Amino acid sequence: MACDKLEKSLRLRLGKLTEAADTGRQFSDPATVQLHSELVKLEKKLRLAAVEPLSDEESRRLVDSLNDKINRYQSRALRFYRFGVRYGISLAALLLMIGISYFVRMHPVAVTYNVPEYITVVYQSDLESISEDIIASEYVNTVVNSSLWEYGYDSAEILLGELDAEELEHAENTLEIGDIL
Amino acid sequence: MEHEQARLVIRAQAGDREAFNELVRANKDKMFTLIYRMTGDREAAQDLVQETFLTAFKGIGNFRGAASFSGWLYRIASNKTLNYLRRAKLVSFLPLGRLPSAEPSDHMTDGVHNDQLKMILSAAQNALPPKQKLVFYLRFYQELSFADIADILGRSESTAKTHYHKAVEKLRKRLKEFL
Repeated sequence: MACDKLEKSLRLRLGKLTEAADTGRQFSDPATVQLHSELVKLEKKLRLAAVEPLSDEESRRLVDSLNDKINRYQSRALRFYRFGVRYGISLAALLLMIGISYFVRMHPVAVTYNVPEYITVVYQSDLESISEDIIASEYVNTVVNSSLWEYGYDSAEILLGELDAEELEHAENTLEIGDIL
Repeated sequence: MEHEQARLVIRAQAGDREAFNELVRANKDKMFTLIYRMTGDREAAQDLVQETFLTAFKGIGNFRGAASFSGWLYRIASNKTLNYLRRAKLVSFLPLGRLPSAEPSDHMTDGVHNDQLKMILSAAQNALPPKQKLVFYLRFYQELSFADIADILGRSESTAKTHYHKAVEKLRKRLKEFL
């Protein structure tokens, strides 16, 4: 058993056996001595098979080619980054809009229309400024409307100027002049 | 060395291309040697080295200093090489490189010529299962510790030792007649 461990240890030391100071003589077991001897020879033989290193030309080509590949990779990465920046924000906005519209569809909100109060007030105010009596007088209504139609607003003077005596008298009796002016 | 690389890594993580180039220059030979041994194809090995560094460049922001940078590179290179071998179903071979200076007696074994011996050594190593072969190369040729190899494999240290032990035993048996 001890020999097995020793032999295993010797095999694991292949590569360092020729550097070691031991010669195998310290092993008592002949089989172990034999193994040691074979491993030392094997190590020496295996050392014969050297790999021819890269020549200067091969090294230069390898480094240049590698740099080209790295440049191409960086260029692709940069293009992808720019594409992402350019279209990523638009895509995110689009997705957000789709999300919001989907959310609104899922959770509808009842919309109520309220007429602002000031509009009503102005409207009522305008109504209040018109005398119902004037409107009720069919004659005056006809004259005023025809005048406004022909001459437009601010035509009070023209209206009054074109009335004959009878019409003017009727108007004076029916209207307060300030209403028209 | 590792301290210097750690500083370069921090600069490279901040976007310094020159620092990354320094890391490439410092590690490319180690990566090439490992991948070339695994694939036996010089062109493929150079492509895989480039792929390894490109992957490292892309992921350097995620690299944490807990492991050494070269250990991290070895892990990337190992995965890429194993995937390459799996895809291509290649039978790799130990390339016939420049001979190291050795005594003439080391070049001949019982009449077997040195080139023939290297072919035989190559065939014996190529017959190893990919992971055993990877562990063997990382330990024997790259001289990494079992702890580092375990880290590269993402396995325990005892698993790495088991792979190495089995690889050595297979090589010893296959090459017994040439020893």
